[in-house]
Amino acid sequence: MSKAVRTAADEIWKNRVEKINVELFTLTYGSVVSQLCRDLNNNYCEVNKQLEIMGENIGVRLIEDFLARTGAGRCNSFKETGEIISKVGFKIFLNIVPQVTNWTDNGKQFSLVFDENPLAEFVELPDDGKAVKELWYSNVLCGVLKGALQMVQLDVDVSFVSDVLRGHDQTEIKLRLIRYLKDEIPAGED
Amino acid sequence: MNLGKNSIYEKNLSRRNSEINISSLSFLFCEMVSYCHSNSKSISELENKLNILGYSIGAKILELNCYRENILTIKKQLKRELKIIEILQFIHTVIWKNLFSKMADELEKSQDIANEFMVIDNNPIISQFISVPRELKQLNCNAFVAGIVEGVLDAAYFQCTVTAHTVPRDGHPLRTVFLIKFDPAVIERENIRYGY
Amino acid sequence: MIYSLWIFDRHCIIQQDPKAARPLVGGGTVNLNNDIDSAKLLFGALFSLRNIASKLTSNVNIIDNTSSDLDFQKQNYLRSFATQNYRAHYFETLSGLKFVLLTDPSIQDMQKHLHEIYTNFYVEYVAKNALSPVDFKPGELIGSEKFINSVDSYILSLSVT
Repeated sequence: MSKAVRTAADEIWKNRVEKINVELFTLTYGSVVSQLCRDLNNNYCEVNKQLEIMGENIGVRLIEDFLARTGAGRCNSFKETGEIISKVGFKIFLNIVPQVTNWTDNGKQFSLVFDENPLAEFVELPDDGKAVKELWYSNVLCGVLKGALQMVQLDVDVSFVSDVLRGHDQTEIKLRLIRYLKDEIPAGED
Repeated sequence: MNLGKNSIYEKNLSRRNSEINISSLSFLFCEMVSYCHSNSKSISELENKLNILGYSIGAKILELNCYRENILTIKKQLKRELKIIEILQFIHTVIWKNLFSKMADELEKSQDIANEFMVIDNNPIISQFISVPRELKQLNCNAFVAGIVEGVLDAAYFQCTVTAHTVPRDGHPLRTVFLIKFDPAVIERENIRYGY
Repeated sequence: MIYSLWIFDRHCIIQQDPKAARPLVGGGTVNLNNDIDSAKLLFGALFSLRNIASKLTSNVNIIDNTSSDLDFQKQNYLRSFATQNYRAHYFETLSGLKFVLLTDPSIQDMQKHLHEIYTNFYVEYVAKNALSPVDFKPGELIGSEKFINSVDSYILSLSVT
């Protein structure tokens, strides 16, 4: 399957996506994170939370763009969801294809490993000894994934495992499927 | 401090061709506006917050573009524009191209006021992201870009304030004027230096 | 003849302003005073039909197997239902948005147009516009004028009107 998916995603990226220089995006995101650090007095746990909230708000909107653009149907399995997130989602929005790996045996948890991260180009964490331990600079990504997946009835726990900005070897996000959400039904129909 | 192979110091600054989906920037920008909006009591406070967010980018953009324009081209030396008109041209062409993949449309000097200049964009990318609802009619989200311009100019030692105004013209409903008001001291310096 | 357009979000709340749909109502066959009530009834009917449709599918609901086949689950989607005087065209996104277009029963298929409305107008003017909500509160309607105007002129431009 993955080859067909990749080709389709490449085609969308090449022909149906309006593009812009990544730098304005990178710098804008940087500006947002540093503003949050100021607004929240360098309480990095709070910054992580706020970034996740902002991400969720983005995710619930971004999913509509994703569905409209790709015409994707419902995935047959969480495994397939993982592939689509990486090869289609990340490809058409950020032009990267993170590696899908570390599947657990029950097929309910995997990791995305990033070779490159357009959010964090030119970035160095504040040198206060605290940020390196507490701040997940790109945490907005977790929120986006959570928010977008929730809209297609997947309740997923998303969190950073490691980040090269903290001096780790790789940047890794973990996704764990909690449950499938039920359709909401109109009032008086139950 | 761990400076491994992934350190930013190992990366090449000249890389400038990578692109992303404009929607991603749009989503991020929209969320940024929402965040600022929820923390503001008035439209001017909101615009001011957007301006500040842009401002902090300005200095970085100046450095990056000066470096690329000079070191990486034949000139091989670091040069920064000293004349008002030159730095404005630099913004109008080089910076606009770097940020928005196109040049700004016009660059004008105010007829009446000596310290006022205008950079004009007929169809600013930021305006395409947001359609402002009626209750926020006066809001111009290009305050963010105005902040960037202000940051660039300030970092180049041209102190000023920059504001964004929508001035539609036939066929260009989103046409935006970035009004640059230089500090009187900047004009004075220029007069002494170049004796106008 | 196209009578009206309704949009319901995943909370089953009406999103389209019925007033905005009014210019589309031809011949006075839709009772304007009861717009909201008709919408609720219409929605209820569609919701039941949609559930029946998916129960009728022979395809087992394979939501958690390990199949890696890209052939997306072929579900039995509801497209429209007709009465003597109307046809209700139905399009639902994976995110739970439901677009309903009421037309003359002679109009067979409006899927393409509902999809267009979603892709070109909803995504562009509602989802991508930070100053417009996407998670609607009860009673809240789509306020984006750009959206309402573009949808109106799109529907009026269709040759079937």
